[in-house]
Amino acid sequence: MQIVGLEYLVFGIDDMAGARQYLLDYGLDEVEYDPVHGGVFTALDGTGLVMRAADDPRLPPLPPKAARPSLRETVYGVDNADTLATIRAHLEAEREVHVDANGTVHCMDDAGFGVAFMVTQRRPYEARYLGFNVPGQPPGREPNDCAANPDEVIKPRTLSHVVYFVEDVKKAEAFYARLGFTVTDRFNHLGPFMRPAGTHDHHTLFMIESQNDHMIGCNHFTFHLGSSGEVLQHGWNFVKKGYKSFWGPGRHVLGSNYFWYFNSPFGATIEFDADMDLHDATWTPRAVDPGADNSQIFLFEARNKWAPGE
Amino acid sequence: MTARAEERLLCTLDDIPDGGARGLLREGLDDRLCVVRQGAEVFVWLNDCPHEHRPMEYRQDRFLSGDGEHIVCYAHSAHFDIRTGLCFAGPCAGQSLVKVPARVENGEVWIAAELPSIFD
Repeated sequence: MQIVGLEYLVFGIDDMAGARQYLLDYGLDEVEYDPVHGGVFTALDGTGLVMRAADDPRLPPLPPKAARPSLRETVYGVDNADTLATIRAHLEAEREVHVDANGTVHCMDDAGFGVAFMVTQRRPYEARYLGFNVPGQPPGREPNDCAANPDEVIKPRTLSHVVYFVEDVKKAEAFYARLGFTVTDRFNHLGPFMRPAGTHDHHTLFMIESQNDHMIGCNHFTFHLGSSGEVLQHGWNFVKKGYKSFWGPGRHVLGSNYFWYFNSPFGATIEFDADMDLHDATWTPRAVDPGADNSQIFLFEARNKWAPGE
Repeated sequence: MTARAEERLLCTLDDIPDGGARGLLREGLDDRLCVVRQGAEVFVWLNDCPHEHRPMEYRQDRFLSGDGEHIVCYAHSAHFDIRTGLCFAGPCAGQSLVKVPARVENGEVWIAAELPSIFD
């Protein structure tokens, strides 16, 4: 079974107009939008976010104890129809499954989160080549190619990962292990970073076992941007539009991804993410204790622009 | 209008849209207060979610639910009663926002000169 990664995240929300503007400012492209029924917004490769009214009867139930707005379904892309048929047969043997008119296979996972599978529609795309000039290495950019462009249009390239709080992480992890996910790293007593067989990304799914009643539902989700510089520049643009930083910018240890989290109208924080590690079957998972030092190697906060002499 | 002892003028009533909210008292890039107006009444809260003690709005002044009926922390969907500050759903259910004493007189909103602390 080759699950290649996240295809869509589906949210049930209340502030449709605000959410639409939020996603446009985040840099996604609007595929469809209706102020009552919601819309579909995609990254450069066609993966994306679906938003629906929180009371839309088509949506799976809220995750346990979560309040709306909230994540309602995580849709994975798989490599081909044979894989989809295999996954469907596997799931039908162990739980209730619903196949919709498009052939997408829906069910509930063992943590109470809606999950679905479809043949991926990811597409090739053109975007600015990002190279870095590093002494001792061949030049990353051609001569005269200036990297810093205040007017750069920065767009998320692909949907990256989603993070759940779950009541029983062992049970939740086993469900995804049976679908071919492997553990890349783990926070002791909290939970695993997992990647499906069809991607080398450090994680597309991170699950945290609830330690108290505060830890419920979806914690955050993110798309990959092109670089750390894009995380900083696009996050700064976001701050200047009045959006509220939750955590960052910084760089995680496990996964090495640069991060910047913002409050969002989706019931979870949204992350700006870039430069995640890749892993293969030779990797030995690490297990570390949770806490500030193991969550990031550095953390900064935005501040207003300033120049010497002003 | 004359200030009572230990009070400060926050804003005029008209600065807050009726049925809406504003973030006020900017410090750096964040607003210290979440101010909600319902008719002639104003409810002033520290902009500090008891869940993870971060600002609650997702964008400037966007503190309320889609229907305007309650305050939402848009980090992790905690929902608060506008009048009591009680979190009735979400990750800090049962906890409360910290209230800033306020009164409205002659179209002006006055608050305590010294803000309460989340440690009070």
